[in-house]
Amino acid sequence: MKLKHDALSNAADTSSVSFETVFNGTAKAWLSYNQATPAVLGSSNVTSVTDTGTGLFTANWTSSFSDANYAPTATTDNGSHTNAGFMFSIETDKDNLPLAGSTPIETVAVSASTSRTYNDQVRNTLAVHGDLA
Amino acid sequence: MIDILRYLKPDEKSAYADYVTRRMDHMQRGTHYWQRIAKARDAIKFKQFKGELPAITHAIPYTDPYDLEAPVRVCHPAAMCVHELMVGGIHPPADAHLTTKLLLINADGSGDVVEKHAALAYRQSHDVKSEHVIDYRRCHDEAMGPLTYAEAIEWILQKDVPIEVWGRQHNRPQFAIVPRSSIPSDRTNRNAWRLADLTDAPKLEIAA
Repeated sequence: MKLKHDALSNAADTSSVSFETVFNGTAKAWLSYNQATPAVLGSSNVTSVTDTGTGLFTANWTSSFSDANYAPTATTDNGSHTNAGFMFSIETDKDNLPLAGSTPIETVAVSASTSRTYNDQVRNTLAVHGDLA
Repeated sequence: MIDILRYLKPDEKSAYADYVTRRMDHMQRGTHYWQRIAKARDAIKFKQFKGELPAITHAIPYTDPYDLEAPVRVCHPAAMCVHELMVGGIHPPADAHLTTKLLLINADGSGDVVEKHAALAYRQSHDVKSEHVIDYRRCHDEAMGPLTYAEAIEWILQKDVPIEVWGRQHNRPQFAIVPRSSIPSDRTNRNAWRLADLTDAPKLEIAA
């Protein structure tokens, strides 16, 4: 069955959203990844994850983005309640630019008394919005 | 917004126009590569639920081709992708990814069109600031039949591991497909891992 309409409307037909808005606003890829094991816990539009070192990994997208100007949103979880005083951060890798087909990521631990150190996290999540190739 | 056309030669401009048109046509028909992946998801998850698809038991450690002293890299295939490949009808051949055409724009404002397999080498000698896909037609147009598990892992190797690692002759191995169990679980000295440390286990045989 195929619905052929240009937009989704509410029952009263007082508001609608075009299919293009839905398509373009949908996350094109997502990933849940444990760098400590390491293991890909769940994913969509992800071919593989490359573990490149402590606190460093690269998500390889299956259906490529049109350029590197897409928008990843990420969270990270250390999995421990005993790391008081530390803040854990997930960022795009500053030494390696994102590419249309892959995104290098770094996860770091920061505290008041230590400098930033790369750190493996048990749960890293990414959702990516952007234009596909 | 980058003016892509100003970097392209006449034949590249016509190919780019054809790609943009065909991409829109695939989107409207629901046959865009990403749409094929999205549509197959529920059926694959049902097969996973019924235990009809194998667990992913292999990883691909490899050496950074431009920094032999760097920690070994380990490519972990995503189960969903392996299973998409085993179901078939979704993904193009790996060389469709490798021949994707990219416009690479350098810090000095110059730009060149290179195929994806050559992009890493190009980046070694240029200060690339941005890249733009200008031809992805094969990935939209072609979908392979089902692969075996070993073939699916090899497809991922070819797509995600640099061709400099697996496509050239080396004096010593630069990669291996090994059981995940041979990857150390203790990551204390992760950055000291070298390929030889991870390749003692039996290798996955790839069908000819």
